[in-house]
Amino acid sequence: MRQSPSSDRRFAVAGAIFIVCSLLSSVRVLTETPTPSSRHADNVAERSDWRFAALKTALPKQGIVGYMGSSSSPADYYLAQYALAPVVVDNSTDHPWVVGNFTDSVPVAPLKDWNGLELVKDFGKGVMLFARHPATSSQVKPAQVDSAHAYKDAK
Amino acid sequence: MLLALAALLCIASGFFLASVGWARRTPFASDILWRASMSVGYGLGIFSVSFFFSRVCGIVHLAAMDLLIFGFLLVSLLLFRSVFRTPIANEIEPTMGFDGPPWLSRFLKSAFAIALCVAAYATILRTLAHPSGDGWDAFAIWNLHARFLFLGGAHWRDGFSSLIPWSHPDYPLLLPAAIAHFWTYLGHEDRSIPAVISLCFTFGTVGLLFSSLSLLRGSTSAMLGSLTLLSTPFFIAQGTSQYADVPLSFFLLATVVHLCLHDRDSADGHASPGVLFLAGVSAGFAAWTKNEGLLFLCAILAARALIFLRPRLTRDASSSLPPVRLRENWSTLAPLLAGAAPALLLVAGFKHFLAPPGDLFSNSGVMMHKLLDPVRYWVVVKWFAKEFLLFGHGLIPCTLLLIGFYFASGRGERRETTAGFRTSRLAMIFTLAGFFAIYLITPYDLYWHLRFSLSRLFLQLWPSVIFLFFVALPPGMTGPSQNRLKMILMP
Repeated sequence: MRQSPSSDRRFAVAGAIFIVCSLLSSVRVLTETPTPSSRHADNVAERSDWRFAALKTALPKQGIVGYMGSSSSPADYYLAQYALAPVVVDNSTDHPWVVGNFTDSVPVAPLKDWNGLELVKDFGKGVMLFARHPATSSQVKPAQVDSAHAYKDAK
Repeated sequence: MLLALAALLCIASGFFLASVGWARRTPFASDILWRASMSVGYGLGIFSVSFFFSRVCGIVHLAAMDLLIFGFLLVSLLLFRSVFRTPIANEIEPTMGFDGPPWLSRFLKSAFAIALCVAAYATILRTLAHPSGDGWDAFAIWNLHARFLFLGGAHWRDGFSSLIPWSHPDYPLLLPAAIAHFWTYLGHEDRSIPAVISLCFTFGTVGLLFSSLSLLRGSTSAMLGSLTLLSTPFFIAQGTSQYADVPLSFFLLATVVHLCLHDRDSADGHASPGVLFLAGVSAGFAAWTKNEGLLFLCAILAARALIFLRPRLTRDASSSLPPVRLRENWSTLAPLLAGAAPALLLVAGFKHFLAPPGDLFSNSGVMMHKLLDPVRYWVVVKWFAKEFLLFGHGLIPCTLLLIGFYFASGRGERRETTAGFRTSRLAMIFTLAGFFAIYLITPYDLYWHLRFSLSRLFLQLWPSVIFLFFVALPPGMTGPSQNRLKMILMP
């Protein structure tokens, strides 16, 4: 069932235009590709794993810790959770142990006693660990107690 | 060494599953490409399910379990082959293909080779530039879940805590569990594992599209279809982002392809229930990949049922294919359901016993109020139209390119469509309708939600749309091509 020559030509032209347009999009694929010379350190690892490495060794292997940070972007909090997993990082200070993540500026003044939190250790790069005074902790869950005990043992 | 063993077990398990009821087809290269693509996708799916099962049951000896699954699949394949022996057919109906002028054929081959090289170059450089994924969802959802599964030990369920709702703990675990499975073999986390899995799904999707179109419509259609996908910048970008959208698109495509192949074989009297079973398995893996996959699974089952119950509603008016055989053959629904059932049960169990409630469904009063708001309909329609017209981030929008090609290449002649094609087309429409409904009731800011997710939802369907487009495309300038398919029962 051979078709007419005009139909053949029509398909050939349509096919050629289609291929050219596809190749033009491939050019965009190429132009959007980062060049080998523009490679830099892994941003995610730099802001999470490397940054929180020291703190992670000090925390227990599981449990829940609180979180407070200076950045308005949730990305820093997400990266902290990514780094500290499998410990659950709750974006709340209402926990016996609270991770501080101060990427922009470190709030020097309140560190001594901020809303019932006491600085336990400064790990550098704006990463800190705070402990809540027992009297001000309103909700202590079993997992949190486990975390706290484990941390004390580690110390 | 252990990593090589893991990769071998993964691919071999996928190979045996993909071979259930699947007869070897020529051309040989397409057959090999088909099996390789399916083996990788299915293998990762099996690895994911087995790892999750080992976590739930507290199984420590993962390698032993993998070997057991490997043996089980091998025996199942042999049993299946002995029970459902498909008669050997030396030749089946010739496929319809485009046999264009030689210069066009050379041009297409060159363009395809260039697009493939560009895509390979781009994905490698993108992966090197973003080894932990490109975008928040990679580390905040998928790789985070993988870490909880791998590092959590007896407390792996902590990853599904409602204290971290932003990590979407209700999302299914195909990708995280597959990553965690390989990490367990390695004994430590390795950022290259999620990256390699991403690449496997990206090029597996391209390979599956190429080989399936080659089997059904010939090599020219296969190259045109694959060229379309490879030159979609958004597909390449997402393919290296370590998100779950491209893996989901792989399983959606696998479902659609199996349905079309089954019904094409059915018309020739060589249909194997195994192919339909694999369609169900693919849909099940889709549901285990993302919540949108669950929507697609429901859509495909509903569409298939509708095709059988109301064939006149969904049948092309011009079609001359006999409907009786399919309509009366209810047994073709059973393998589809049987294939989807294990993953469906798995997802149901995960949602019921482990995951917190999803974030999209608020209380019924609020949802009803949103459903009755015409402004929301108008906003969603506008965004759908805009995304449709601009999809792909190409210099020329990919959807418009396909439409232009359709009209330019002889729209007057229509192909006969099988029940599998019509089921797939209807399922796509149902899935899009589901996306639309979700946007109507979303608890998030509607504009924000549309802006950050709609293009990825379109991407999930994109490989299947390309496949269906080239399957349905008019024959064009040629009659039956010379390349004939042979179907030989696997020894």
